[in-house]
Amino acid sequence: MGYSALSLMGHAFRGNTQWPTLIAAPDMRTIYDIVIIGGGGHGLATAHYLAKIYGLTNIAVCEAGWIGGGNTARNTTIVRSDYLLNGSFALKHFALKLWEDLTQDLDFNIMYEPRGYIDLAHSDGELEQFELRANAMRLRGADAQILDRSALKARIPLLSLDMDKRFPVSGALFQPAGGVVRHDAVAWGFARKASQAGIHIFQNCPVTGFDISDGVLQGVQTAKGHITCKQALISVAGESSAVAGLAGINLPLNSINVQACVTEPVKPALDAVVNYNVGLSYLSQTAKGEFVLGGATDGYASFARRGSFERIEDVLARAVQMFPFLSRLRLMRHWSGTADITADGNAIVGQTPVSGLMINSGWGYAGFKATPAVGHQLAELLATGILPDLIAPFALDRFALGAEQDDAGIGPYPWLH
Amino acid sequence: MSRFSIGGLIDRDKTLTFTFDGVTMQGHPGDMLASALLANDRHFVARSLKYHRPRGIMSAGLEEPSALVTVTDAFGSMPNLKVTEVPLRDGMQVSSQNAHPSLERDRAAVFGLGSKMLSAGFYYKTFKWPKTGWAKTYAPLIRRAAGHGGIDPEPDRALYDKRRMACDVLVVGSGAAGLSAALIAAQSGATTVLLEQDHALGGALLGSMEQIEGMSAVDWVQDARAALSQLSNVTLKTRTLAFGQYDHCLIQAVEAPDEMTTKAILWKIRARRIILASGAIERPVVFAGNDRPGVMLASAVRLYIRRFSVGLGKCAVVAVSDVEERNDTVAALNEAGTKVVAVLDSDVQLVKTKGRHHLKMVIWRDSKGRRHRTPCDLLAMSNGWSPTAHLFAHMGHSLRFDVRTHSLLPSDSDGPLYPVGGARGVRDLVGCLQDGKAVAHHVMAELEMHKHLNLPRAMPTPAPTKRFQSATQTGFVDLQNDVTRADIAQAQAEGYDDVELTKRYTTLGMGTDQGKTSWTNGILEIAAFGNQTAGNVGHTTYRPPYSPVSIGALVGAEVDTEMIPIHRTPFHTDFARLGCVFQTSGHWLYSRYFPQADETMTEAVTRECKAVRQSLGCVDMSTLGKIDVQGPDALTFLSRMYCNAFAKLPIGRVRYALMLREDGYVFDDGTIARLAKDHFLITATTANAASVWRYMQKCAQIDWPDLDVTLTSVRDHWASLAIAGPNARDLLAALDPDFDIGRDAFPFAAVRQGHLGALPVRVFSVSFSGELSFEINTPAGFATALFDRVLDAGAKWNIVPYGLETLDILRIEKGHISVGTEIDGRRTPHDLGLDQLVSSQKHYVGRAMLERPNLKAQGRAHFVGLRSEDGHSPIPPAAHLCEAGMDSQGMAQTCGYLTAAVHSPTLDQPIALGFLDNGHARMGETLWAHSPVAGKSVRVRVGPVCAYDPRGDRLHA
Repeated sequence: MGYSALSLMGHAFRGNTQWPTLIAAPDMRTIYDIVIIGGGGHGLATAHYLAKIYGLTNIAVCEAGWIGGGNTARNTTIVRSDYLLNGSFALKHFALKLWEDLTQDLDFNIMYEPRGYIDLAHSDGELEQFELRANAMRLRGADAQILDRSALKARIPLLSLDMDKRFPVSGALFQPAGGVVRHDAVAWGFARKASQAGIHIFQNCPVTGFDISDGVLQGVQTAKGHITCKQALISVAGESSAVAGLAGINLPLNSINVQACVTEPVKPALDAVVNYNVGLSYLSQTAKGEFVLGGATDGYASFARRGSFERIEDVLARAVQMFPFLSRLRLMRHWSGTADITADGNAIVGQTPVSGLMINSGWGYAGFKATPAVGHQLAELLATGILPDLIAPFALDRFALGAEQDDAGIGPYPWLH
Repeated sequence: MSRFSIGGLIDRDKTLTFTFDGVTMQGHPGDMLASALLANDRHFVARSLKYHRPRGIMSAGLEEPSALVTVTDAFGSMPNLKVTEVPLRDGMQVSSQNAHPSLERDRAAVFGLGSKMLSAGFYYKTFKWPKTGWAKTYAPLIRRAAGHGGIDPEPDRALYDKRRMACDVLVVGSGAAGLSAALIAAQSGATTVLLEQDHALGGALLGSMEQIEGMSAVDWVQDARAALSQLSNVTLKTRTLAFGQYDHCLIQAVEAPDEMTTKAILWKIRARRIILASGAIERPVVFAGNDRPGVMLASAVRLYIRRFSVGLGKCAVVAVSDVEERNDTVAALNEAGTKVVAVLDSDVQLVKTKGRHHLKMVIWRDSKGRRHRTPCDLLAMSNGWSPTAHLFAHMGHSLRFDVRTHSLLPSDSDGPLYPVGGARGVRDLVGCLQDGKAVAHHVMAELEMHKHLNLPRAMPTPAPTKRFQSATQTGFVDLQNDVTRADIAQAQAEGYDDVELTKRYTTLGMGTDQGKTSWTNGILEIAAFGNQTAGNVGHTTYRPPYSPVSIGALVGAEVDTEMIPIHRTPFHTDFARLGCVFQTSGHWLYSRYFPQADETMTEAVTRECKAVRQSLGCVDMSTLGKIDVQGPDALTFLSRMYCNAFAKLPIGRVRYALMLREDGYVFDDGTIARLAKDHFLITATTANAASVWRYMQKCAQIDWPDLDVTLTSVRDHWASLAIAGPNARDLLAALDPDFDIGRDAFPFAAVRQGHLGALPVRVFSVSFSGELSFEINTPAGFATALFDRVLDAGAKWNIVPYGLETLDILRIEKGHISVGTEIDGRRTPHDLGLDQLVSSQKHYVGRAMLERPNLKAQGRAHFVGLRSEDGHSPIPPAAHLCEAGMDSQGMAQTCGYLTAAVHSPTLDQPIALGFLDNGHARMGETLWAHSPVAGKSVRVRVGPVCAYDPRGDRLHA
């Protein structure tokens, strides 16, 4: 039975003891068609679309911990598609289209709220660059606007437009369809639907090795037993280099901490996602009332999932420039995630040198927004063997060919992206 | 009033007046807001988050889940403060939150009736239709209902600060264990810092009637305080919350000083060893109605009575699982004159409480199953203790569930942070004193400041074998987020059985108290409903801060214009005097334009441009990166850094230079001047000055350590002013040079060192404007002298100072590339039309990767110039180039975009620069330039990038 107000009432009547489990707990088979390594948003989305679009269900998802427990659990829940380069734009634009329908598609409220994404410019020159992006988006079919200072004031009354700031605000790029999605719900919704379709999801089941002969994938070793399979997908975010390493693949990426933090919950005060651009600081207010903030990476490689408090201080300093009232609120929790950042700051999606083994990595701290689109496109690749257009720009061999997808133009320095 | 006339650690000589929801109340120095409210018989102070149930004050510390209020003082209002953490101040205005129209008559209390429908995660299962229903209807409703208190939109005028400290031993907490550890460390000569979050030292000792060394516990604390205060190697800080442990022995703390000049200070303390004496937190009993005002933790009851001299009720039920604590609680209530109507051990089962806004009755079942209804107005409850080992866990160490103490315990630490006393499960006073001492001695021996005495550690105190069992599923586990046993049971049944999933699904422990009173109970419930042992449940990640900390303190004094130091050039004050309009450019404050009278920017810039093209202008070039490169291998080094050839560059000449990244894309452009055989001065763009410097250092130190080359950043040493225009050479002559500046003696692309009058200078004949130009560098201290002389001497040719806007237009007319627009990190030299510069004769950074197939491919986007087809229609900036018009949806296939578009004052027509697919082969084509944002589309013709003086004759004038 589906989820609805009626089912809530019915179950309330039965004391909420009869709810079906989110995902089934099957026994592991020895053979699957496809093994998806990583039960985060991306891996579970891939599983869902494999079942939904291609009817493939002889699939195992192996998650080392708990579903959605990696970067799906740690991001700042922002979705947007305001990119200049067409490759980056097109995939995230497609994702936004999918986000719109995902609650109904999954029968699970993933709480997509298009509250508007607002990227602040701090000079007229910067605003012209934003206009370039906005025009690119418009010509490609997305809505985007440039807000001048008075339009900004109307849209975000509490944003400080004082000129007596270190980096005054000149205007902003505004993407109305940008916003937030409830991050945990994405993993749970995809997992539930995939499980209902018959896909097996195993938690606490790390992959410990690959069987490869003559460059062809034969199977996957897991903590719960060996699986014979013709295809596997590595979709493990911060663990990408470690897991790909088990298959002898050396990925051109660094693992770097990204910090995020959250204030105590307060009554609604900000109805948008806002980003400060001189040293990053992006924030939004959750449905519960907390301000969630994030910034750039720590700038050095680490798997610690804790890290630089200085980055938190930077992020808060910028947030207070935008919203001076924040200085009276209190920081409730800060955390960190491992971002896998490549030599051009963009993702690596598609085939690997090992035949049958696919990779989805390098999303850095920009992966959440792409979740449904990546899953959709990888499902097509796994099911048909044909590389879909939207992920073609992100092939691993682009670094050798010189086909980088470097939106920021920063170059082969992951710690600067 | 429930304040006793004697006793307690309050100063009855002074009275502090405050208000709660407009009602005036009184307390005394020494009071916390909580004790003052209770002394005024105010228990019911808050409504819960989800069901809006009446809530009182359950605890006496930072663990308080319920009693959140908004406090307004001279600096404005702060929401969500726990009444148990706020010292009482005179004039404080306290208001309740999350209740409308009033705390007593909160309309949203109706949510409580539907609690079964609003079960764990209900919002994931509903609010799904219509498609936009969530964002448009439901989410705004939920947002309004959630959120506790409201913000104060006024700017925060309070002062904050950040400070640093280092010490040998840092002790966190000043209870028995902390004080005994601090005394040993301090008396052994270690620089010792003792932090206590409360305004009084003593921790749990302040509610204790036990004796230490023949003194009352409170006297012993005063004694210890006096001993510590006498020592110069001790820093003692109260009201200072150590909120997190970070890498390399960093403890961060926030101090809320007593005097109100600075509201809060972030302390960053590097300690060689840390002793964590943060005590333990008492666990509530989970049963129906355990959240009602009047239901309190037993330790809090004792503390309010003994420390604050406050009576909490007329008749009390005591339900405490530990026998000694039970007896002590009864004793405290007797001291307060509260009638104890029932003393319950854990053989009984608490069934529920009754009462509307305050506890009226406890219903319980005795060991024979008989039901009792005991009228009362206070319940003192306890179901054991949870060590406060959060700071230990911040470094990624897991706590393990210990069966004997029935709590999560830190493992044995091998430093640098050592949990002691209550923080590692030691409950008895003697044990805590002993544990503090033993660890302090151990630490002193580790630091080689004392011989190793090897004192025995105290053992964690076993929990009572029997505890109160939960009867129904409606008891609250997490009071702040209204998470019940039923919610946890449901999460297990639905498969959210990992502790992290349970947390996220039910919101257990996600409140502002971060589950301090709920996590251990939660783990026990997860274990019970999930049929697993508590040890297997594990725990969620402990993250800083231990308790919420002021964002003001974390930002410190670096607000408004002080966030990052402003970089000003040496000419700044001279320019300001002329009425220059400045603009922030990176970290610089740079001259933008120099308006006269009431000129607009466009008028000023047009005038400046014309002056430079027709006569003379001057512009600040001080922000360019300047790196002095010396040594026998200087030429080799630079030859590797830059892709163009200059091995034959004579002394005294300058060359334009292009630097690639190692991946083959253009990184930066600048100039190389040869000052002597082994001495060069290179310039980098303003934007890349720091990164070029870093990159050169990296190459010199890491990649080619064999090269004998010395790099010195000299940007800040020089004031640099370019004079540009047809009359530039005449002006230079008028400045009294002591070197030959004739056209042949000082040609384009040369450098001369000497004097202009008395001013020591280096003059470079280089040009960004396309005019004859000399860049005069003088030591920064002579900036004003140089500028004054240039303006004086230049007056003859009506010299005008110009800024960034004019600089940009002049370079656009010339088709020069600029960082951020054309040098965007994605271009090869060929893309930019600069491939004739690239040497094929040498090795340089980026050469190998420049050979990659896609970088060599035909049809890449090329740098081109553009003019409007009709010669006069303005070209919209930031437009994209398209072969076709936009379709009905406003979409079009793009083939390039503009990097710059201006009206050229010199040519008096619109010109633009941009990137166009295969642009080099498309000269003369016409295209659309679409800017949907501006609502403009213009036909443009592709042409060369240089629109003005393409042969460069003017440079050599």
